[in-house]
Amino acid sequence: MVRRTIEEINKKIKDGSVNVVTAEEMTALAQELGVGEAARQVDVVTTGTFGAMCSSGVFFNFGHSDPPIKMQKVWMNDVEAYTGIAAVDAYLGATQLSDTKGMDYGGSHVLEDLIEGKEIWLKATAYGTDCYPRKRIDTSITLDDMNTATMVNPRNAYQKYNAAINCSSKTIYTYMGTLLPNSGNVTYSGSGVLSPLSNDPTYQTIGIGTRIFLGGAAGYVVSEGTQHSPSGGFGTLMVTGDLKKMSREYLRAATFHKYGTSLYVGLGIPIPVLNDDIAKAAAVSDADIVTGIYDYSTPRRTKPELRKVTYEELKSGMVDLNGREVKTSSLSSFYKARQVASELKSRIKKGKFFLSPPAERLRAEGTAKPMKQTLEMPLIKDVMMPVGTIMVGFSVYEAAKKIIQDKFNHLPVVDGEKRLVGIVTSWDVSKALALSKDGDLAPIMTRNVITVAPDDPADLAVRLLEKHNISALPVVDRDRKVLGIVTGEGLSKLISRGVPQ
Amino acid sequence: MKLLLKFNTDIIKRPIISETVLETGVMLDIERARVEGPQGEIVVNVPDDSCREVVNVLRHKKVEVTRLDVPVTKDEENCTHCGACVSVCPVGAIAYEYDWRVRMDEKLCVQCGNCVTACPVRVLKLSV
Repeated sequence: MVRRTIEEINKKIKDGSVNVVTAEEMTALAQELGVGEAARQVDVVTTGTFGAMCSSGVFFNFGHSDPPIKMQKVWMNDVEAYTGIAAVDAYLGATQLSDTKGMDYGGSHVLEDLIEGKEIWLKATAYGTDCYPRKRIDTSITLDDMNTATMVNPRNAYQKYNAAINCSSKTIYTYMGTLLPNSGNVTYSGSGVLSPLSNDPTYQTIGIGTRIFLGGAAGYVVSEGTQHSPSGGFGTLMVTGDLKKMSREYLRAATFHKYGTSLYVGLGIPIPVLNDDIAKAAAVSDADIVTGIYDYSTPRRTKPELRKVTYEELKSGMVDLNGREVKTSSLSSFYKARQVASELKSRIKKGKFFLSPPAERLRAEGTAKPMKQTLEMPLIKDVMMPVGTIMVGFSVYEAAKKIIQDKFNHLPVVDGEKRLVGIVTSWDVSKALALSKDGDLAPIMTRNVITVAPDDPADLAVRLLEKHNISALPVVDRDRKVLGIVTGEGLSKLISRGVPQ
Repeated sequence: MKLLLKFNTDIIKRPIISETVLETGVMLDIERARVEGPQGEIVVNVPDDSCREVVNVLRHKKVEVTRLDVPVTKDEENCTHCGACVSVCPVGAIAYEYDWRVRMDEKLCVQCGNCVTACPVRVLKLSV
């Protein structure tokens, strides 16, 4: 049984005799020599991850202007930062989008520009007080001009993450990247064997105050991260570091198409091998880390899980889904995660990075709760209206008659078993009649009908109407039998009146 | 040689590809086709030695022809090798190497642009 203390390890770092391996090397070593021997040989295991961590941002102190201002609203390169903290302090979040450039430029891009030494435009407005009379400021500023730029990331270093797939028939753009239709690809995130929290899942060494590698500089664990759910293997950390000491090598701005901006953060944690248990945890392999593949085309909190999968399978490039091979790829960079773990290893070996014991342990159990929603969101079945249908095979003239009779603009077309096959609107019908095209209804109907299910939230209908620029959505059951319809008009009446409880 | 063909409203209803194949006797390999609203775009792969003949016939039929000499390009220096582009590529032109760098085989690229929109750090660019 190996016993070491952090003080002993730090002494070895000082005299250059410390033995450090990366978590990948540790796994191989333990498989070759056994955990006991690996524990005896290795003092420190370094981990690393380089993923898009949306929950990241920086507290800035700009210094006081003359005459002084108490900022009420502030923008950095047109990206708004939160300044309800102190007169000239602000927190810029990585996912905040530019007021003028939208998704092409966000908080993360401001941070990347700053660490590259670029000037950014600072604009602030205020109401003015006796002590802070100034109402507006416009100035260009660099990172060097600021007093402090302290990165505080509320939720980083996810232990592991859901893998994503899209079972619908249209491409979707998510924070898990582009998901091709009909289960065309699987995307995943996290560095698996190198993941910091997967190498110490019981938080024996990682705790409040642990010194870490963050964005190329030394940083610290502040506390457990928001949404920390260690019971399910989804632990997170809140971390901090000095932006002024970070480098673009380990911090990169990202835009996920039609989703928004995020920040790639290079984060590594050294794990001191204090005993065999810690060594055993750090010998974890990709095959041991299990996550699920979830259907991201279901825009709900709980998404259907298609199957369990290990990081080993995900990293092989293909996963099997009901006998079909589906291509996988990562959103986080394993290449950069390795670079983080190696760089941290090298800094420790060179005596430039010392380990710190945690001031407090973190929770190794517990799960984040879902949001309490007092005003329940209505479902489609609460807001849909009955709708008349017409059988395929009828004529345009008969459709016109039905539309006039029902006084309704949309007419779903169904087959003999009442299943939806298309839809016609009063406009389609008038156009056909105006062009004297009375005949079979089928050629003029829209066949690719966007539909909703009765248990979908009403919000989804609003989003679909907007996205496809249409005015109504038939409601269908699992067999595509028409149950009713929701219209843009109906939904806006509902919203203006308030939803009946 | 890959060619990008653009069809305008006047000609979109004519079977131009079939006509061209029959007239030239050259097999056209359709790599990508998209019809949106009144316009259509097709990328075809043509054997190099018959390229000029095919281009002439297509242009005669009022098709706008662009030669696609350079595929999607990748800025290696700024790539983070995340791989967000890998699984969205329909032809397997992008893959991880043994050391987890992301490499692109330009010869296989059909310029669909999937990878360009998928790239979070904007290092992939369509050349046309």
